[in-house]
Amino acid sequence: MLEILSYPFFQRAIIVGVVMAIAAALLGVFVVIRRMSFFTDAIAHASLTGVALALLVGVHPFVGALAISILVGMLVARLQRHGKQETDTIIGVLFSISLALGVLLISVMRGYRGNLFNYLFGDIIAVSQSQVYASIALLALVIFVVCFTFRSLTKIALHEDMARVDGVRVSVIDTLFLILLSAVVAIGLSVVGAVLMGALMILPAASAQYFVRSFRGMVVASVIIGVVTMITGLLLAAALALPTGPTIVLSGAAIFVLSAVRGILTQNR
Amino acid sequence: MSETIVSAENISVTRGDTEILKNVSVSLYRGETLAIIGPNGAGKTTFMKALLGLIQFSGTVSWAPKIRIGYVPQKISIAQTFPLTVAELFWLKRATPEQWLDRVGAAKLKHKKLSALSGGELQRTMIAYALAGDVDVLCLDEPSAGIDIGGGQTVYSLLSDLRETERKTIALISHDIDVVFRHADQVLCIDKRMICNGKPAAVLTADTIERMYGAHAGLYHHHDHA
Repeated sequence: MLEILSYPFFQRAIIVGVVMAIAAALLGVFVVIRRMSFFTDAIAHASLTGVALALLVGVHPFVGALAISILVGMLVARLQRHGKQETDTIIGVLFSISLALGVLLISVMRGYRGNLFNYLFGDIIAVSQSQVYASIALLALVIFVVCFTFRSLTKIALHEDMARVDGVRVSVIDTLFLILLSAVVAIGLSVVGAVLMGALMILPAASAQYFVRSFRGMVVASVIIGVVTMITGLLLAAALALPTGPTIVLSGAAIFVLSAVRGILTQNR
Repeated sequence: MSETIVSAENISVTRGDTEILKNVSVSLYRGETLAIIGPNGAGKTTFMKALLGLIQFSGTVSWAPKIRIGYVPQKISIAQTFPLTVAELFWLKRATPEQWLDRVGAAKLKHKKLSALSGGELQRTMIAYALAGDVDVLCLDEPSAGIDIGGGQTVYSLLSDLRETERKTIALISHDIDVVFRHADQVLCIDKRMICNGKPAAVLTADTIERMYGAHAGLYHHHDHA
């Protein structure tokens, strides 16, 4: 099993996987405390349509995924503010449309049909050297933005209006957060795929909340859990010849279940 | 006359075709406590949000320069998944928790998670948080009467302290006419439009109370408020 570690493609996969796990876990903390899990799933699914459109017009799939994710994120935010529908209905509708459209477009394109499964569930072998650099640059950006806006992001999560009165520029920070979220989704596609990307963000934070005693503790614990999930998932997938995305997500789910059980047991004590 | 902290003129708010607030005006001076009263759905919260610039409205609101505002909204629900502690809350404002928690008799809550606090504990913590950073004005949307904040104090006796010893300017929304008589210098009565504005003893007459709350409401107000 250790033999696989010497293959360059697997080394790239480990690097991109770990780097994206850290970025996803950092943003995931805010996704979970702001109850945006469903929203995140929606923009992850929308990225598939972005990939399909990018392949159609001949640009890099990352560009398409990023653009459509941001677009859908902004559309949800706008409809939420001005529409007459409940947020979960809006997200549910957009979620289904973008996933269906993405699958349909990729299916009818000659030569790409075989790749559909990879876009949906991840294709670690396809990780290129340029993706390694892109993911490292993105992580640096995520860390920079989260550090500089940490107080503001937390104030918004606590209460948007209170944050505004306190001088936080909520719409600027929200837009910045959406762009980062979409970028992490677009690069993370190759690791876990469109369907499971949301889980990669949510599971570490959701697991951490069962045993942390403070918010800053939750941030640190989420990053550690995200990295452990990723490495466990990739090694298991390689060793047992399983698809990477589902294996990574199920590793995260196993940690979540253990955390939840521990949380329930300590609560009843 | 002391310095004007905020003055609002002809504030109107419409949502869709519904008029929520029409032509409400008020001026608040430094050190004064303003009570905004009115029945349910009268637009009290809407008016406060307009003052704070949180919603779209027509009319003008002008604050004195460099005014720092602390705001405690009506309902704050903390998700169970959000493990922010009271100490971390004050860290968000770069404030020392003890300094402000002591003021509301809540120093012992410092290490608790916000999501584990009772309604009353959360309210006093939020008032302390709103005060942190030495704000000039405190805007409170229905600080519930009767919540014990330690040492037999209620939220309202804390507010009197802030008014009398520190000359803080306070705008609060209340349901309780008795509270208004005891703690407010100025009262603004609204029911979608302005019913009355002035010193409580002068403008809160049987007539204005009846116009806001209906004919039977006057019966509730027979306390000695001297």
